[in-house]
Amino acid sequence: MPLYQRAGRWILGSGVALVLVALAVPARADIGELYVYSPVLDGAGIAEIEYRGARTFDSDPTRDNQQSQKMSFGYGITDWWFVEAYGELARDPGPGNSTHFDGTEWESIFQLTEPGEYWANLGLIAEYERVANRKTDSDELEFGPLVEHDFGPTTMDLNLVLVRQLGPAISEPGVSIAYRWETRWRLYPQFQPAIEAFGDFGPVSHFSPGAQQQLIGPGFAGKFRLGFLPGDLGYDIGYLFGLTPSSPSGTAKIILEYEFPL
Amino acid sequence: MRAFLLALTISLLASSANADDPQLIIKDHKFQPERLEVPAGVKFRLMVRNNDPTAEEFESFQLNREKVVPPGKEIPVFLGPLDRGEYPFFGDFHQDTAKGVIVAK
Repeated sequence: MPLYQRAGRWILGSGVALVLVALAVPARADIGELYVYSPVLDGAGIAEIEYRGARTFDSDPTRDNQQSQKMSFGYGITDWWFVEAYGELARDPGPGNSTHFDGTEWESIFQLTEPGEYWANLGLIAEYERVANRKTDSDELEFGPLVEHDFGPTTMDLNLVLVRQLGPAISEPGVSIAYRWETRWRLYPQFQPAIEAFGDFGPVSHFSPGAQQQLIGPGFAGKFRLGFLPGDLGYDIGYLFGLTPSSPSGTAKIILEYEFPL
Repeated sequence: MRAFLLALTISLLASSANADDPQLIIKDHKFQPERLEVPAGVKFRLMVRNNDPTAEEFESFQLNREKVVPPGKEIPVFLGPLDRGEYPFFGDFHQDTAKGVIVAK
């Protein structure tokens, strides 16, 4: 990749980072974000329709039955820039709550290196979430590096995400740090077992391990050709166990993706 | 400034295809050659050129690579070091005809 292209990607990504830091983001438990991103993009002209669903299970009613359902459309603008827009339905945990429209998200993923070019594949993610009810909820900005490395037949992905809330109803001022981690065994294209972990360290200025949410558990992913339609249908399912008192005992997730050339 | 220009020149030269790089050509929705021998145990850059008027996607589960090749364009695919063996690949948009195998020796 020419130096000027690489420099352009870093400048674009760093520019977004500076804006985010200047505006500042704290992490909020978001079961709609139980997805580990790869910095490797398929290329320009690839479109994606995605569904993400998740639900918590806990004997404590205040942590039980939280739900998130997202639908999105994404598109590869270039071979190194992918954009995606989401709409989210959510249900707060606890009895008596109902599903409501939660907001929209706008996301960019930048691939910074070619797969296999260096020891690790690198990328960046930048995301803005606009909530539907800013009186009780806050917008969020997210930014962070995506790192991927192959160990033989396994692939490890790590996402580190800086989060800052925006708006009048901020619950966690300052910048928070979250992570998403996955190690996946590339067994078959249709069936790839994985171990996943998701954590939210909370605001950097108010580090409180007891209040953090840490989830870990098994997952399975794969993709199939549809035969009568172009493209592939992918799935990513898992069940995550809570590791801290603040975490729900269990969280189930399912992600379906249809990728096709457009 | 001189160091920057030197680095820029080296980078631009390095990003171009070298004569030593193995190459695949996509033509009429087929790979040429369909069997490509490469040295085992070394890292290399495979250049994939698409001479068709439509896009193709170079894909190989065994090599863990999946990348769109726009019409009339060439892309680098960094591979290896590979163990000795055969690594099938295909064109995802024309799987009936676009097939091949990389043989590491």
